[in-house]
Amino acid sequence: MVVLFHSSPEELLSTTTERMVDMFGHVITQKALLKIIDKSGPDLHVIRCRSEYLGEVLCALTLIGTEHLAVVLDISGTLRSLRTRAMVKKMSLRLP
Amino acid sequence: MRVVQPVLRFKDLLGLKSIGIEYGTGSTDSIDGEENVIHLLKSKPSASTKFRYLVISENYHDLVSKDVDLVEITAIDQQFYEMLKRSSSKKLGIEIAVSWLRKTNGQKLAKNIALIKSIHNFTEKYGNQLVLTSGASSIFEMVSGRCFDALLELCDIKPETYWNSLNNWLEHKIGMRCYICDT
Repeated sequence: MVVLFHSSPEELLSTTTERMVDMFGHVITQKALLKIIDKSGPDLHVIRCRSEYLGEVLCALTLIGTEHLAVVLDISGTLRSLRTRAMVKKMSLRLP
Repeated sequence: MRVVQPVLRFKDLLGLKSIGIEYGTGSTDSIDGEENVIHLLKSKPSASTKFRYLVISENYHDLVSKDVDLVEITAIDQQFYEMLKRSSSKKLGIEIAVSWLRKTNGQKLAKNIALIKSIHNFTEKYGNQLVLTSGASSIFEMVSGRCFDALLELCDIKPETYWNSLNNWLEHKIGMRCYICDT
C-alpha cells in the first residue's frame, strides 16, 4: 500500500507496529509481516503486509496517533501497479 | 478546513464521493455549487441557500433540538440513550470522529470500539444513523474509503450496509430542503 507519512520509513514502521501491538497484540502483528518496500518521494512510502491482516494494518495506520499521521492513498496486490499509481498520485498531490 | 481546493483534490485520491466541510472556515464561495460537498453549519440559515448543508452540534443535549441534523459524540452516559430514544422520529445522525479515536490508547480504544458498535445497534433500532467521520482539520488527517471500511469491520458493522444506509439518510436530510438554483 502507498502511505503518505511526514517522517522516515523507519518511523512509519515503528509507530505502525507499536499501534498494531497496542490494538491487536504481538501475535497478529508478527503474522502481518509489515515491511517497508520503497520510498516514492519524501513523504510517500510503499509498505507491504500479508493480505489476511490487511484490515488490522489499515486500522492501525488510521489510528496511528496524533503525533504522526498516516494517510493510506492506495492498495494493490502487485508492487508494479502500485508503483505506477503512486507516481500518478504523487503528481496529483504535487509532491516534490 | 482552511484551504478547500486541496481538500477536494485529495477527496478524489482517497476514493470518497462526498465530504462535509465546516462552513466559513475557508474560501467557500468557489465550492457553493459543488455537488459532492456538504456544508456543516452550527445553526440553521434563516433563508434558502445555494449549497447543500447539515446542521451540526457538539453537544448531545441538542438531540432534542428540532434544527440539528448531526450530533458529535465524545462522551456518553445513560442519559444519551434515553435522549436518543426520544428523538427517534427525527432520524438524527450520531457522529463519531476518527480524530477522537486517535487520541485514545489501547484499552480506551477498545471501549470506544464497543461503544460505536452499541451506538450503531441503537441507531438502527430507533431509526437514527451512525456517521463515522474523519474529524480532519488538515488533509493529513483525512481517512480513505478503504480505511473507513476496515474500521467498520473492526466494529462488526458491514461496510456495504453502513454506506447504503448513510447514503439514504443523507438523501433524506438534504433532499427535504429548498435550495436556490442558478438559472
